[in-house]
Amino acid sequence: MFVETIQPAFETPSTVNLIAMKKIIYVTDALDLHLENLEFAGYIAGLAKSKLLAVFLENDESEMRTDSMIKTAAVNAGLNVTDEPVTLKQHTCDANIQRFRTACESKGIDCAVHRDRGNPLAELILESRYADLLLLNVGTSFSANREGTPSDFVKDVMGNAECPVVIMPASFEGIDELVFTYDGKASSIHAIKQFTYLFPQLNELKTVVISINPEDVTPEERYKFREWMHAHYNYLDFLSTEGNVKMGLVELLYDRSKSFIVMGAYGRNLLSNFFSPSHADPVIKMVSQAVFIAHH
Amino acid sequence: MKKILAVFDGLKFSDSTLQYAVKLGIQHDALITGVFLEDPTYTSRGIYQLYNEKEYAYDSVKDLVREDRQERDAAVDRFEKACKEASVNYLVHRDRELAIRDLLKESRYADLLLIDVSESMTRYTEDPPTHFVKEILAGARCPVLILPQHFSDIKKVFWLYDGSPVSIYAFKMFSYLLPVLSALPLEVLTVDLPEVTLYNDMVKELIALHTPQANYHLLKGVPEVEIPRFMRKQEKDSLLILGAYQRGALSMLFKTSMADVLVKEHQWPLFVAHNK
Repeated sequence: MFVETIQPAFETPSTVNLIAMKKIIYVTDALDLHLENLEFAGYIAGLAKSKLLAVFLENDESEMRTDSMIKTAAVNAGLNVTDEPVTLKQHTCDANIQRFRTACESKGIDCAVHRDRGNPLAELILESRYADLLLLNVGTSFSANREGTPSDFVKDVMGNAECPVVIMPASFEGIDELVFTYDGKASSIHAIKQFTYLFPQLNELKTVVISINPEDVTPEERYKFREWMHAHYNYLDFLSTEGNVKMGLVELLYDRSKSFIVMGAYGRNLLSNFFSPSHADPVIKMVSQAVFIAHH
Repeated sequence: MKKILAVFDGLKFSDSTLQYAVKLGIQHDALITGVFLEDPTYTSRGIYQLYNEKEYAYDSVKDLVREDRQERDAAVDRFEKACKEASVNYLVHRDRELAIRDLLKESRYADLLLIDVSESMTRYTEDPPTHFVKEILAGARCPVLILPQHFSDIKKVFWLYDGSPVSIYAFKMFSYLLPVLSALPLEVLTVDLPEVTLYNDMVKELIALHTPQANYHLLKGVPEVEIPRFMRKQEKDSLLILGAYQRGALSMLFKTSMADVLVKEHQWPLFVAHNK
């Protein structure tokens, strides 16, 4: 682990600090709203000086959940269960949207709501094309069965979204450090760049770059990477370990707190996924920090 | 601090690239890396020019190599001087290997690449788009700004929106990378295609969040004809954003890219990004 600095030729007289607004989407299952994420979402929207746009996925076309699950959802949303299932679902969605708006208001978050009624995945991928960032709850699942984390829906979104995705942490107490994972591949660089463009104002935070088997990348390339990192971040640390990538990642990421983890490479093609499942999955499963994922 | 690569040919120094680089450096507080490609197989003179003077050939080759080296050094000096005068942070990379491959590698660790439209990295002049520029467009790992041969301060931004994911990607990248320019008035230019009208509201929402004011122009007809015709009527101080350059050789063979068409006009800076 070592730190190197590049001496800029001059200190520029004026710094341009224009922060453009971003389109940030808070994704939620209309029946299963997790308001504990809102603290984090509000923080992100505030960083980007943007409105929080909530997309409520109602999944009317292909609802697979049983009536009793919908009843549970209705109770969670604070409704009395007296209606027929179909109207009950409508009311639950409405109630959740109202809960969301109230919560945003009390936290001072400027919000707007989109209701998407069709197939959740298709709707969301389309939304992502016109968005800068998706904020996603790790357990979002439209399935009738219990699923592990990340759920299949979350995996599909991460693999197909046309903008970066953030898996929100369950609890949030601020961000103290950024953690980038770097393996020299195009997708890890792409993720780091996208993160940097979306959150240029985080460049004063402590920044850790993690590489597993750093010798795999040529010295010349590592040098150029460092040059780029130093141009963008002010407090850099490089950490590395040898051996198995998955184990190494989990080991280096497990004990962190208040960090924002940035990962590339969410394999989108099935075959390669089959042979080497994404490195992001175990990280998302084991680590309760915010995880930023962009694929190429 | 963003890292912008400005590509120079030391033997045919592009003033326009230098001026745009310095301007963007000041505007966006960027680190400008002057990349001087000094491919040893590329000299200012061809072999037949030496052939006539065969008696003194050995000496004259040495002289010519020296002259070329001096010219390349002078180009680097000019770049350094201009950056110093404008107080822009800069680095110099002099690359002595095969030009294109190294540049593409370098672009991986850069945020934006600036190149003059007429850059060919050979002794010959080619009609734009040159092979060199084409290869950069297809292979660059960061967005590319293709510059006209004459500098003019950018006052207006046009986005060529064709409904494709890549054109939206280009727009997003533009607003991330050049926030000062994306605060300028935006003109969204579309040609009447079935896929364009489909998601109009979502696109408008995205634009509204990113830019203070936007105007929409809907053209009718063949994009490759109508867009250049429309643009010719506009002021010269405009920048164009467009997505895409198809990577596949086959698709390039059958379909000329809009970037090729616009490059031929060589009037406006073109911001080109692809996400593959």
